[in-house]
Amino acid sequence: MGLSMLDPRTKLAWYVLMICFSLISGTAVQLCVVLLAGIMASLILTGSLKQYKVVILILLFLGLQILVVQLIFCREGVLIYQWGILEIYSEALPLAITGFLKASIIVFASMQFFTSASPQEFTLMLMKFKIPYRFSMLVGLSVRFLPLMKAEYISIIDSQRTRGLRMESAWDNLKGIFPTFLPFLYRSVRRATETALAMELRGYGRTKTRTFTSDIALKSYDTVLIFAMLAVIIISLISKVLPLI
Amino acid sequence: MNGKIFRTDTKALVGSVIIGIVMLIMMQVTGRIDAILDPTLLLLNGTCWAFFTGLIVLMYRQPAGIIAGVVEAVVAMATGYSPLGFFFLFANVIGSIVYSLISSRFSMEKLSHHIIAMLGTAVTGNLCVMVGLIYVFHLDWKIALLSSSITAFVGTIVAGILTKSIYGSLQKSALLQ
Repeated sequence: MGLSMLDPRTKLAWYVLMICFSLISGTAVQLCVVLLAGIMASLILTGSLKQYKVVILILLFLGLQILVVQLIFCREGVLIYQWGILEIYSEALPLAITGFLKASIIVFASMQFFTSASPQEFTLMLMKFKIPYRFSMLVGLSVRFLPLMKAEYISIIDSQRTRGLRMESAWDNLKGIFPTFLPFLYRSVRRATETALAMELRGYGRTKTRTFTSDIALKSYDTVLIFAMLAVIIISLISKVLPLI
Repeated sequence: MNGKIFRTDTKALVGSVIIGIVMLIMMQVTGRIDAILDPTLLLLNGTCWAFFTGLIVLMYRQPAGIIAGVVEAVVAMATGYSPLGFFFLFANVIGSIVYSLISSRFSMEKLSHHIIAMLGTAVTGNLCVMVGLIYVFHLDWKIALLSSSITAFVGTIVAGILTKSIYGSLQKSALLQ
């Protein structure tokens, strides 16, 4: 069974399950199992993990940040090292590891879900949740406009550079925010007005319903998977909440 | 703004998506600068978030504010830009609704109106991020509260002033008509 065979709602249930487990799991071992389950699911359904190559660097940088934060601020466990006001406690490293694993699961699950279906499938999924098509179709619009807006921002930065704006160090970038951001904002507002007018002229929002070239429907295995995942989420939440009562 | 909360015309819907993308790009730019200058406080990022949350509500009202917030949070999650992306979803939606509710009671012509509306947004939004800092980063709640309070304070003042000045210039430029 390939990833494209699954309904977007099944993928959404899987995403909710992963996020839920990442937040309720307390130990590094549990979190490792959840992360491995996510990686295995991706490997089985898509046959490759190439798309996650980019995220590894981001996660390593993030892990370093979490470690530094824990080394500076953690006050749990016993004091193992002191240098001036800097005090390092024994629990800093285990907490940094669980924090890193939780962050990794959230990032991985999010990438897995949002790259698993086309914008049209997400639109159809929202329509199945009874969201009017005028709102559901904005998914496609955002996917279409993201690279365009990015290119526009880069062209504004280039224009300002040719006028003598320095953008080399972090401080230069900080000073360069206003000269680049304001033209970008004004151009975006103008673009929004023009796009809305063009869409209205093509009949967007004229009628309450509209047809699509494709449709999504839950198959029997989708229904079974969704119910199974929902049951696991409910049981996990109950087992977590019951001891507190 | 006095009483007007909703606006569902095509211009507002398309504007929410496009300005949501602008918000996302600017959040990424300020996030990278913050990662070098103040990795634990994220002052620029917090200010940028508060500013856009307010500006979008003033320009296009609701549900545009919610849509822009969701667009920003979803792309942040999909690109792995932040592990707190999941909490941004709640921060953006709740912050935007709070801004709408507060700004609908004022004319939004004075700086104090912008500061009050921004205070509500910054506090609620940063509370959501604080939950993320505690659950994901395992930060002690006192440190998470301190970090969120500083970000909310700076965001309220700076974003309040920025929103008033930039929204005013957008109105004068007739781009919003």
